[in-house]
Amino acid sequence: MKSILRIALVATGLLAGAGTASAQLEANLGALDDENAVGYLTPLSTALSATMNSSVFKTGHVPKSGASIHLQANIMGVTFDDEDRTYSPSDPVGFQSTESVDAPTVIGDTQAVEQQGEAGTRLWHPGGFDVENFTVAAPQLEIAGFMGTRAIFRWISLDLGDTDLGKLELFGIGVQHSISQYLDPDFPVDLAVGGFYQNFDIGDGLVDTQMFQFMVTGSKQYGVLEPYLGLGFDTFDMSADYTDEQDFSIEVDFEKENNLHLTAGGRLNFQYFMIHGEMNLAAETGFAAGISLGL
Amino acid sequence: MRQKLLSLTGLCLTTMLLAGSGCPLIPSIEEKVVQLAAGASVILEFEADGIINDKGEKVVFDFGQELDLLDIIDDAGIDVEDVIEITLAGVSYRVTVPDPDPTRRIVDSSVTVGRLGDDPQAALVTAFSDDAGVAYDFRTAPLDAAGVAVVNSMLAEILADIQSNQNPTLAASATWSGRSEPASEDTDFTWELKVDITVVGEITVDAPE
Repeated sequence: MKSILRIALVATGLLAGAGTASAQLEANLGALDDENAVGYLTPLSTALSATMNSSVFKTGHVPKSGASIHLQANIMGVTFDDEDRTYSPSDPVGFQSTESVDAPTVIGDTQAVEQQGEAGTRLWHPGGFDVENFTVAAPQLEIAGFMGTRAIFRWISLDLGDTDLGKLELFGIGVQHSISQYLDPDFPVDLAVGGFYQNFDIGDGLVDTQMFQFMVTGSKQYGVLEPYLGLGFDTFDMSADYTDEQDFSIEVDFEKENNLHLTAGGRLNFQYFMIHGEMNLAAETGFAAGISLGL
Repeated sequence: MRQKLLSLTGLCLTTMLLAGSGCPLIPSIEEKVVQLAAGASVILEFEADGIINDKGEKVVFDFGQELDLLDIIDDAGIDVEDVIEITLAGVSYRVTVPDPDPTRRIVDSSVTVGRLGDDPQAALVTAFSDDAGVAYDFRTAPLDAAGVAVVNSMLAEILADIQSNQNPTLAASATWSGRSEPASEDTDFTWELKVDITVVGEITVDAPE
């Protein structure tokens, strides 16, 4: 069996210290039918949506000409809400509950919850890992200077070594196009519109996520400081494939998420490097920061 | 000068953002004790072959070996001494080989269970009726508290054996009795009873804060 929490741990660069945790999630998932597995894992889905769709567009300024290239390191994080910590489980086949319970999600309390059933049966719902924050990191390459268009790429391919997950792969591609070049030169802010597609895959389909973001970004430069605002929407589609206690393969399709996305941030533009920080209101409220080097 | 001040301000804001207490951008790892649950099942197969419409069929099995609890908790990464409890979570049934007569039904059937030699055995599934002329996936069985208690006591015995480093053998039997209709012709179908258990235990993990 393979785990999903490990994705979070891998993404945060913490796999080495958390291998045990990820192995336990495999067992936890094995105790859940597919419907309850969705409830258990949903906070990770929303967290991935909120984080992976951050730090993509950080300016409305896209030069019409003059080639530029930047390599950027992003770190994106969200803080979970209290309501993300529990879910209402449904009865798996074979079990008839006689009481309702709030069961922990993967980020919820570490204590398992017992549910009473017909004729004295009892079903245990696994505890979570008591996680308050979720963090991912991603490199990003930006190439601009062709007809007011910037190409954006994200790519990671990691062999997860002695874990049983195989590979972690992130691929993202998108463009941002200047609207300002079609507007009056005196228009007070730089405006650009962009779209970005990402695919995040762990272990050859263990977890497969597809993300798309559309965003209009406005910014204005004050010396080296460039505050920016973005308004757009995100789509997020995730599926997970794991095995139950009978070694049957279970594919869990999460409900497709569509979220409005509001970004407010600022960037410091120096000659060879830039630093940005931003706040995002989307599937979850989160923060992101990054540094980029380039010409 | 103004540019330098702006730069400095920006850097300070970024630093404050990153250094904030509980900042989601600075993950930290801590040791946690997590109660996890693992599931397992034992499947008993009953063959209804010939005229057994009013007779029972007895299945003898080694509960300890069929369950293989040691393997389950080992897969889950739980140390034997850290198992908190093992309980019966539910029972379900399905028809795997349907009767040639698509109208065939199991009627007023029950399944009793107990250690091999127990007499009488305790009722586990009572008074259920369902189709036997079509194959279908598992459906929840109506349970009786007496049988649930017996299964739970056997599970506790298996756990105790494992925790004392003994091979968990526990001979048990389950007996199906009831009728199938129509009674005017022989029955010929196969059905299964799935006994689901959950094991809860504690493990210590390093996980994000």
